[in-house]
Amino acid sequence: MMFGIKLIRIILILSVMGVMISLLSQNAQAVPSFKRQTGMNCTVCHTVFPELTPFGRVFKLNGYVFSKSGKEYEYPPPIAAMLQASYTEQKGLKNRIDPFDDSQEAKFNLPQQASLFYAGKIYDKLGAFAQLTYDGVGNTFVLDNTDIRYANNFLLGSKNLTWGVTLNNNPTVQDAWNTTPAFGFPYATSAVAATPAAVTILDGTLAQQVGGLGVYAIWNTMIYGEFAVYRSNNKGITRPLGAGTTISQVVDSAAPYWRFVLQQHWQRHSLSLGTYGMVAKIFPGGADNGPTDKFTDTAFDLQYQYIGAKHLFSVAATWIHEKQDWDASLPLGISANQSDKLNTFRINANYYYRSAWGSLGGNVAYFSTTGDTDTGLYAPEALTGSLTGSPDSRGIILQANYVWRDQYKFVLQYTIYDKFNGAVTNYDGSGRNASDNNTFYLLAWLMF
Amino acid sequence: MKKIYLCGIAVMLLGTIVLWAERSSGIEYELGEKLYNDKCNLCHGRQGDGNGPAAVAFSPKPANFTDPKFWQSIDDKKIADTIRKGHGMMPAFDLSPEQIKAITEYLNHFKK
Repeated sequence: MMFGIKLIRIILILSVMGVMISLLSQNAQAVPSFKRQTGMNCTVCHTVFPELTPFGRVFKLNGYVFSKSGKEYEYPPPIAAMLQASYTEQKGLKNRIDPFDDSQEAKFNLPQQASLFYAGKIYDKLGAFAQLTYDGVGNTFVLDNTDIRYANNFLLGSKNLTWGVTLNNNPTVQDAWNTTPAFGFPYATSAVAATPAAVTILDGTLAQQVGGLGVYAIWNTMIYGEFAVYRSNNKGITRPLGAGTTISQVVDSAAPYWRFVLQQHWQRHSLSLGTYGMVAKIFPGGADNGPTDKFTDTAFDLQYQYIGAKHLFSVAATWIHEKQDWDASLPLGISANQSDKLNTFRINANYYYRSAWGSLGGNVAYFSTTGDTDTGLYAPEALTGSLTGSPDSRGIILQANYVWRDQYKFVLQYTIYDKFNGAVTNYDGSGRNASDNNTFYLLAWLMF
Repeated sequence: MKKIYLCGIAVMLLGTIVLWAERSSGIEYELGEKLYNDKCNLCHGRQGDGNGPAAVAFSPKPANFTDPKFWQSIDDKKIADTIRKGHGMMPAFDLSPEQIKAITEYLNHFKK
């Protein structure tokens, strides 16, 4: 059985490598599909992927359809591939040298992820960013982050107004600023390291669990507004958007999502200030009927970018406040309180030096989660639990990056926990300290 | 009477030619407008003033087709070459000669 799984994985990796090699062999098309479609360098849209430049934001908001071709569709289709291979060092992980180890405790993850993308124009003003991922740790295939959009524009008061419709499967995946969770820092983390227990619903909890339709508009590259409605992917019309994902967070009826941004540009500088949020009623414990818990998320974000010819600097921050009403979970004994509050704050500063040899740079980030103590939600359990019932965690991330040819990123990341699940020492009641979860993470992130 | 018929036929022929020419020109204008909005608008703007939604990303700014100075140093051939080969941050577009001609002619309507 074990040999069979390994064999499947080897075949799978060879298949992905085959696709990548075939993409590489296409000379001028030896690049991700956006570059192939637009004829522009990756650095026009990205400082360092996945962080977007002002042009990258415009490209995304205009539906991924800008193309150097005169055709209404792209031929060959805009297909790209991605491979992530990683090594994680955290207390408790097993030092196995077998890169095909399926265990959730394996330090080597090869691949951590392997993805195929349809990323670019579909037809005329309709485009998509759709990611099919093989999760090397979970050993599953899923439809990963997906954003299909139609966009158009016209003049309003002699200024451009771009409007569009987005169909996506992860609240904030459609966002064009790298402050919101789906494409916010850290862009990649270990798939096997222990992480804090408390997470807001906007912070990835609903990724691929829901599908949503949204409308948006941006006027004069300055004022952005969006309104979307999400429903659960467990059944009905949005079910394909959760393909491969086990639906464990079933949303009752529809969950509204909003987003507003003000941004300004001064030559090489840009600054944005925004707010976003969501209200969702979710059945507890993966149920799909009965009473629900209510989550109300309100968030603010800020981003500053300086994009010079050689020096690039950016700061991104977000604060998410979540009000949790446990109308369903309290009677079931899942929570100990009728309501709780949870706050997440993250800020990261990034610097890159761009040269003919590639981009070299680093990130410094601070993160903090605070909230009400709830001994039902955060109970003692080895490694993942909380002795105090507090969700509080905080720490910093230090990261060094080297990006070669704009497509191959090599990351050295160190996460230092000052507090983990409510305590500095013996946080889980089993003698584990916050610092035991400090994580050293090496990642090769290759785009083709 | 014969003269009246001949004149009538001549007027109808002339009218048909004028209408056909106008329609051809209109189709070309529409093609140029669509291509401009798809390929050029992001940077150069719908009004051709170099203030498209992505213009903020570039320094120097994209060309302003409404500026008479722009037209002093450029002609249709140079515009067509630039579309074909790219210039600075502008990519080389893979368009047919008819499409390039339509865009070039559309750009001329920004002349002031």
